[in-house]
Amino acid sequence: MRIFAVLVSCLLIAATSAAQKEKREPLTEAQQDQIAEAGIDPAARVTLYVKFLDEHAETIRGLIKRAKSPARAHRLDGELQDFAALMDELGDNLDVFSERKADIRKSLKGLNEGVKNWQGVLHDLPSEPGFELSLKEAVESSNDLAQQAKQITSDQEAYFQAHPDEKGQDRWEPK
Amino acid sequence: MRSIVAYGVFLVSILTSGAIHASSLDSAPPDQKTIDALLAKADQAQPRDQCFLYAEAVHEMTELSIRQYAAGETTKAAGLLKQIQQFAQKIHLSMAQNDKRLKNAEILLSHTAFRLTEMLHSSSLDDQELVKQTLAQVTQAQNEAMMQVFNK
Repeated sequence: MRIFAVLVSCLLIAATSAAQKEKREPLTEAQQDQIAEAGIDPAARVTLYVKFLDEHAETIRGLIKRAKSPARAHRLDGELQDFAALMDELGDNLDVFSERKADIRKSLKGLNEGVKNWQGVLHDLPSEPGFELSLKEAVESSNDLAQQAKQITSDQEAYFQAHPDEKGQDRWEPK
Repeated sequence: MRSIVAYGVFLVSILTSGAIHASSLDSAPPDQKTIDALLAKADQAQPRDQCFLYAEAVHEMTELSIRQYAAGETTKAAGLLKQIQQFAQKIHLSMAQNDKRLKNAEILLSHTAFRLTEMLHSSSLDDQELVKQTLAQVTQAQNEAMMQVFNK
């Protein structure tokens, strides 16, 4: 029975360390500091995410032009994972800010333009076995984000037209 | 058989360590370094995590303020109380129905309000106004968290 307990412990530890190894951090320390500075400001957060995603898109665009090699495929695999993770994070942020009725229309404008560009970059990248799955996930994330941004934009336009006194608010306040 | 029981206890203790941490509200002595780390974490966190993390920071700040006040460091204690008011406002701004650990945030804010009430009763007349203002802000944030939990 002791052997069984030791075995289960080993499996638990192995699973935890494997999960830790796989977890990527899509933001650099400097980028995390900028997010921290934005704090709870919804518009500033969205603008920053758009900026960081633009930077990732440019990196991927640069890698597309390079000659095919295992190192390039590996780099693209990581970049695409980070790109998708950041888009998903931004999507979560948007969910929260739209729930709170935060006025993020100015940032959404940048996002709607940005997401078209990101979709274009992903479209220009032909799939290869080394990053096939990451590319597929990034394309899905970009499509979800494009749809979400479009929906929130139209919802916000309608909401703030109906509630002009709430323009520029960080969140809805009971009256 | 004994080893199985011991192993079970070990596993349960690992799995429940978070709950134990949340329930031992008065155990660890607060310090500025921990508070700074908590605030940095809260600022960086995803919006759904921020409410709880700010509540945790506000709780620690209150404990430290009480200690400082008891030690005669009234200026430092007052400075912290003013900061608590700012962060109570941040809790208000960052709170939403689907926030993670909202119930825990509510418990922390409730305990913070309780500790501030104790501080109010033990403070001198000159200092009571600031404590009262801080208590009002924290109580408002706690009521809001409670409403969000009920509305879930």
